[in-house]
Order: sequence, then C-alpha cells, then structure tokens
Amino acid sequence: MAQRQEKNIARFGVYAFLVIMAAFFLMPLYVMVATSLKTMDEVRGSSIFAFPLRPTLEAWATAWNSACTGLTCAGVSVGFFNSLKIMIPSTFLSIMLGAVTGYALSFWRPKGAGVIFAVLVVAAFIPYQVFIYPLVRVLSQVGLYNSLGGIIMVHVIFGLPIMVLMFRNYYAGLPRDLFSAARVDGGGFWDIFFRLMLPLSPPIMIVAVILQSTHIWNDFLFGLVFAGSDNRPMTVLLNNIVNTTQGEKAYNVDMAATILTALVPLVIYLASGRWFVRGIAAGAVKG
Amino acid sequence: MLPAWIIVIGVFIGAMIWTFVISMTNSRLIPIYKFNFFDQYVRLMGNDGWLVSVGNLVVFGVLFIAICLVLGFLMAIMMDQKIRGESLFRTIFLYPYAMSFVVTGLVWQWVLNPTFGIQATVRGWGFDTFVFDWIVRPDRAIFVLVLAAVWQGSGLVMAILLAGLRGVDEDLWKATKVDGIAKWRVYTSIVLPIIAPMAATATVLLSVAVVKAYDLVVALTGGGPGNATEVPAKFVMENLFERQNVALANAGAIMMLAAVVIVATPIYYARRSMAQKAAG
Amino acid sequence: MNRIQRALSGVAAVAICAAMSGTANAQPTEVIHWWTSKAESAGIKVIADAFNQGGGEWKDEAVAGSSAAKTAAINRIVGGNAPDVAQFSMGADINNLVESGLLANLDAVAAAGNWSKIVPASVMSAISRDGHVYAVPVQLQATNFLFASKAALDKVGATMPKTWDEFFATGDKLRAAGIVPYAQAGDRDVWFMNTFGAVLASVGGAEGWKQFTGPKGAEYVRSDAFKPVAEILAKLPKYADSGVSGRQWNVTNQMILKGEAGFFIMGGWAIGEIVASGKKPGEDVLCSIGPNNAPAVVNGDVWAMPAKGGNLTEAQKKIAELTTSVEVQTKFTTAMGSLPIRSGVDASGYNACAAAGASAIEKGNSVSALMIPFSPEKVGAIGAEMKVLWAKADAKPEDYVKALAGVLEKY
Repeated sequence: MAQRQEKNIARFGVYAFLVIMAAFFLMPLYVMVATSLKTMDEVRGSSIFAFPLRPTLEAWATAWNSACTGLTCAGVSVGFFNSLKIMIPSTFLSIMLGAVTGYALSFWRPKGAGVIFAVLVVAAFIPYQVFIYPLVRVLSQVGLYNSLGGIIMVHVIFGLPIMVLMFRNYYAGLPRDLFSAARVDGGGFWDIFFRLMLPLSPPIMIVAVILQSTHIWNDFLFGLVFAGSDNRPMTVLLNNIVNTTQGEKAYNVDMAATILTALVPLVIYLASGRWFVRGIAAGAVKG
Repeated sequence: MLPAWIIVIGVFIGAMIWTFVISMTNSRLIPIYKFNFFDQYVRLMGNDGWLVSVGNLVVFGVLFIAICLVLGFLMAIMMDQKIRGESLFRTIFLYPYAMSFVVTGLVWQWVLNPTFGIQATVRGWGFDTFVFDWIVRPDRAIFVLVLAAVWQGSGLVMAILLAGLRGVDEDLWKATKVDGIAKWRVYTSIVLPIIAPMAATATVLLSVAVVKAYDLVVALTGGGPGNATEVPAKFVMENLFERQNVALANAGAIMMLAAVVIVATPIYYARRSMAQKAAG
Repeated sequence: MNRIQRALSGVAAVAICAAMSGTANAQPTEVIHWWTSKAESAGIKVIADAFNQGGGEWKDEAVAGSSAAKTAAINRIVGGNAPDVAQFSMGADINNLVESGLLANLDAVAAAGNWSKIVPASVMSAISRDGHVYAVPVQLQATNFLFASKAALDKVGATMPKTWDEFFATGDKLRAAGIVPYAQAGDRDVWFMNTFGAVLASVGGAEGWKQFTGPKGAEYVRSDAFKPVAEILAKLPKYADSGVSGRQWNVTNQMILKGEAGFFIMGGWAIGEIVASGKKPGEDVLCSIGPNNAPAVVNGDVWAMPAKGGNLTEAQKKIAELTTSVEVQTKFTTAMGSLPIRSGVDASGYNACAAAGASAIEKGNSVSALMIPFSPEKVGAIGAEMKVLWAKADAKPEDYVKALAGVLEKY
C-alpha cells in the first residue's frame, strides 16, 4: 500500500517535471504562434503573451506566397522545393559517407586512422566562414559553383566531421566479436558494412538524420553563397523577409514565415520519434 | 575511405593551412600575400574586444554544457519511465532545435525585455516590484544567452541520451531490482557509464555549438550591453567582413582552433589510455 | 544485399547527376544588393525597369542585411565568380577590391556622363582611387537627423531644440512626464558610431569634423575644443531608457512614432519608416539635422562593377549610365526617401525631412561620414568603444576622450 503510494508520488513527480519543462520549451513557440495569428494592429496594441482576439491566417498566407524578398514577392514558398532538393541528397550522402568512414575507422583501422579522426574532430570547430573563399574558388574551377551539385557537395563536406564522429563512437560501442566473426566467415569491407553494420545502425541513423537534416535545412550561409539564385533555400528567403529593417516590421508575417520554414524539420522529428524505439528494437545487440 | 581521405586532406587540412597563412599576412578584405608573420597575433592579444569575448565564451560554454547535460539527462530519464504522451513530449523538447535563431532570438528578446516581456507581465498581475531585467544588465546578460541556448540545445541532448538509455538491456533493470539497488544509484553508477559514448557525442556537439556561437548572440543581444556578450566567433565574423580585417579574423580563428586542440588532446589521450587499460 | 547496394548507388548516381546539370543559359545581368523593404524594392525597381526596357535582363539578387549581401558579393568576386554589379557602401568598402584590380575602371562612363560637373566633389573623391573612378554613386543619405515626436513634445509644451542645453532641458521635462527622453538603437555597433557622429558634427561643426578625421585626430580629441563633445557624449546615455541593448533601430523608431520616446538620432532611412507607418515627416515627427545647425553627415551607396574579362561590359555600362541619369535619380530617391548623387534632380516630390537634408547638401553644409575617410576597422572600433561606454553607468567625459584618442592612434 505504502509502496504504491510512493510510486504514485514518483509518477506525479515525473509528470510534473515533464510538464514544467514542456511549458518552458513551449513559451516562445506560443508567442510566435499567437503573434502570427494577430493583425499588426493587435500586435502593436497587445501584450506579447495575449491570446489573439480575432485569429486570422492572413499573415501565414502572406508569408507563404506574397511576402517580398527583394523584387520578387512570392513568399517563402519558392524556397521550399529548393530546400528539399538540397536537403534530401545532402542528408543521404553525408550520412552514408559518415557511416562508411566511421565503420572503417573503428573496425578496419587503416593506417593514419587516428590522424584522420583527429583532423575531422578539430575541423568541426572551425568557423565555417573562413572556408568560404577557398571553396568558392575550388567549386568555380570544377564548374560546380552556383549549382545544386555545388551546394550539396559543400553540405556533405561540412557534415562529414560530425557524422564520422557519431558513427565512429557508435560502432566503437558495438562488440568487436561481431566483426571478427564476420571476418572469419569471409566477409569483405562492403559486405560486412551492408549486411552487418547498416542493420545495426538505425538508432544512430535517426540521430544523424535529425542532426543533418536540421543543419542543412537551417543553413543560411552556404545557401547564400553557394546555391546560386536558382536554388535559393528557404532560409535565405526567410532572412530577406525577417532581416529587412526598413519600413515597419510585419512581426506576424515574420513569425509565420519562421514557423513555415521550420515545418519540415518538425515533421521529421515527429516522424522519427517512433523510429527511436523501433530502431532500437530492431538493432539492439543483446549480450 | 578514399573520399574521406581526399576531403580531409584537401578541404580541411588545406583550409587550415590556408587560414594560418592568411593570418601571417596583412590582408584586409581579400587575401594578399604580404607577410608580417605574427603581427596579427600580437594585435589580437592586445585587443580588449578579443580578450573580453574569450572570457565570455568560457563562462557561457561551461554553464551551457553543464546545464544542457544535466537537464538533458534528467529529461531522458523521465522520458524513459514508460510515460504517456512520450512522442508529444519528445517533439516539444526537440522542436527548438529545428528553428532558425534569426527569429527565435527575437522572440527571446521580447520575452526577456523588461518593458514588454516577463517582467511587465508579472507586474501586470500585481507584483509591482518583480524584476527580471538580465538582458539589459551587463553583469547578467551572459546568463540570458545561456538560457536561450539551453532552450535550444538540451532537447537534442535528451534525444541522444534517451537513445542510449533505450539501448540499455532490460535484464540489467531486472537484475538490479532483484538486488534491491536504489534506482538513482543504478542511473548514476551503472547506466551513466554505459551511455558515456552517447554523452561524449552530445558534449562534442554542444562544444561545437559553443565555439561557433554566433547567430544566437547576434539575434539576442548583439553582443551587448556594452561588450558583455561578445564572443570570439562574432569577433571573427565582424573582422572578416564588416571591419575588413581578414588577417586578424583568421588569426582569431586559428587561436580558436588552437584552444580546441589544447583542450581536446589531453582528453583524447586520457580516454585512449583508459580504453587501453580496460582492454588490457 | 546486392539489391540494397544497387539501390543505394542508384540514388547516389541520380543525386550526382541532378547536381551536375547546372544551367548555362544566356547571361542575364546579376545585381547583388540589400534593398529588400517595400520602399527599397520600389526604388530598385526603378533602375531594374529602366534597364529591362532598354533590352537588358536584370537578375535581381537581393539579400537582406548589408553584411550578408557584402559577404555574398565579396566571396563571389574574390572566388572568381563575380556578379555583374554589387552594392557597397560609399568609401573604404571598395579599397581592397580596387587595389587587387578586381573592379572595372569607370573613367569612360564618368567622362561621358560629365560626372565631375554634376556629382559633388566629396562624392567623386569617395568613388575614385588614384584619379580613376571605380564605383557608380547610387544615392546619398544624411545620417544625423534628430527626430522628435511631436506628440511627446506637445505634452510638455516644448518645441524642437536649437541647442543641446535646450535638448537636455526638454529631456528633463519629458522624463518627468513619464516619457523616455532619448531612444537609442542598440543591436549593432554602428548605431553607437552613428550617434557619436551626430554629436561630433553638431557640437564640433565642420571644423571639428575635419580635425577629427585629419592626421592629428587624437590631438584634437585630447584638446579643450573637444571637451564639449565628450561632455554631451557622456550625458546622452543618462537620458535613454534601459532597453537599448539589442534593440533594432526600427523598433526604436517605433517608440518615437508612438510617442513613447521624445528624441531619436538616426539616418535618413528612418524617414521611409515614418512615412510607411502613416505619419507625416515634419508634422507628426519633427526633424532637424542635429541641433546647432549641424552640417549633414553624408554617406551613401555605390555600385561596384567587377571587371569581367578586363573591360566594362555593355550591361555594366548601361546600368552605370541609367543609375546616374536625372530621370532615374529623381524617381529612385523619391521612392527610397534618400538624396540624389547629382545636381539637376527635381526635389519637389520630397517630404519635409528629406528636403532639409537635400538643401543642407546643396548649400555645401555637409561632411563625409566617418566610413568614407576611415577604414572599416577604425569605424568598427569607434562603434565598439561607444557601445561599451554607453552601457557603463558611470562613464565620464574623460573616458570618452581616452577611448576615442586610443582608437585614432591605434588604427
């Protein structure tokens, strides 16, 4: 009896903690959504926490297809497909490259593996900005500058350090016996990777997808410099809407545009949530 | 392997060398190869703005990483109690990571602004003496940065550690229950070491975010009040373009790298020797 | 297994193919600029339309925020993939590009357009290096308007101050009435630099300005002549509210429009915002170029034309000619609320505030903003120092002298 009571109190504590944390996390989102549903008159006149009196989707419509980003006034919708075109191949390629490299580093341990790994870890800390000049030059020379291929390549390159780091750490945690057994069975480099390692990878893959897709989707600097005007991602358009300081700022449109721009990563989070559990159920190594 | 080799050598090492070479020159807006060797480093060390920003970064980094790890671990544990609405909570904790700081920084600025944010609202409820004006106080503004950064980053730590917790064998829990070991002890003494690689990954991710902290600062405080929230990445960015001092900016970038190497090397070797001991 | 492998390599191949097929059609004329607001877009449209009507194909590459736009432009120019035209701030912005031979020489266009006659001498010197023209002037702005909320001043029975003493006296009354006396924008260092420039021009006058920007600037700052400037610099923050840090300039401007604050120092671009919010410049929001009949502190924007194959292209030449024509300048500056770079422009469409700026420049009562003679590094350092002192509650005039003299000597 007492034990059950104790348990109930503990359960209550767990939920109380989670609800309080959730409130803290949701507060800014609430302000954003509330503001995006107000008219500018209401934004000016009311507290930022006030509930919208007459909610309207006008700002959302404007943000999606008629807010001006320079001479074109077509909202962030133009960038939506560009961002997808950039994100999907970049995320896929960088995760595959990261997984293969991480796998090679932790199981095959080629000569100089330690050096590569060290360089990659350090490279993760370099401010991107200092890379831009040399990269523009290299990409121009190979004819990839201002093209979809160029921006994808840039994302794959800069995603590499974090991806390799994560996959190496993950594979290092797997029992080495698995690998040795596969070797004894005569498995080659790719064989072991595809047949043994990939099926074991879903948990870390989920984290990698979350990280990479968010980074790539939210990237502004590379999209601005490398994508070219035909492939401008959503964030560049968002910046044009939000960082225009001349004239009165349409905060409701800014907020709506921000939420719209964040929708794809949000959907990925919602969807990948289940995979956390499933992936682990499929990939967990007992014993 | 080969592509990784090429990228590592071609891009990262190439860029590091190039950055170092430029930091040895007197380049302003664009690279000019006239060498003055360590002049820029001397200037950097005599630059108050740089020194202040380094100090700020240390305070910010330590607080941010510590709070994120503790909070993330707590949230992961709570999430692992077979609760209802897990996917809802998970999404709530993760969503800040999906949002660009260009605007969430602005929202935080509103919320924290004494004249129309939390302070004004609480005062509106009748607590006339309530004060929450950290964002405009030079001695407190750095904590505001930590707050907003924790809001963005702790959910990711939670997700990574939760993935780790889920990898912990069910049998372990059964065994400890039979032995009557308190739950919190199991978490701190048994589970924590198991998920250490995940925690290490999270720490590296957080450290990268700390060293590169820029968007957050620009959106939230612009480095102010005064120079209370200036950070090295902002210093580098400003000098790279606005102040047109590429060489000084690159010297700053190299110093940041050097700091990372100096901090990371002993940790790396310590971990390796520990691992070797464990293996041997 | 092979199936997975094949599928994977298939996806990769598709991704790479899609990536490789970059388009290489006919060459439109790429223009990078940071004019993205409604009024600004209307302005840039004037030039774009004129260019398109002449048979050109304008490719608009608007990037909000000057530093983001400059980042894109500089990286592309240096990386060997330059746009046809890029916006820069007038002054030292283009120095390095010119030194490295990356910009096209515009002497022929300038001579044909008779720029030496129609463009003010200070502007000509700002766009020339070693006697050659390297940039097309696009617009000018007076950076040191003192704006005042008519509603706030009426409340305390005050009028637009003519001196700093009057300014502070009115400020005391405003504060007593619960109104913020002076609103300062604080999200970027440059706003503190801008306020400093306004105070220097107004207290030190054109003579003080000349000395400050001259070779013996530090000496001037330490002299008695500079003392009144330092005193006002130290006094002004005490009349501001505590919410300065991180506040964007347009948000700060709203404080004036709503009558929550009395005074605001900002450049002419704020006039566009006043008009956009339905208020009348000169009636609802009063303006003057600083108290004390100060000289207008003028900066501006230019087009840089990256050299493509050594020569100025036809399209670049066309844009240079169009931009400086009377017709485009008239429509452009009216739309932008800015000031023309040449004589002969009809100012009848200007509002009261813009007209005040235009007349100051026409009378020759103007000086070049600090970013024209000074390096961006020096200007940045001044802004950073001013921002730090602003946040320091007990900063004294001597602190300002010390900081400014330090910057002038160091950079």
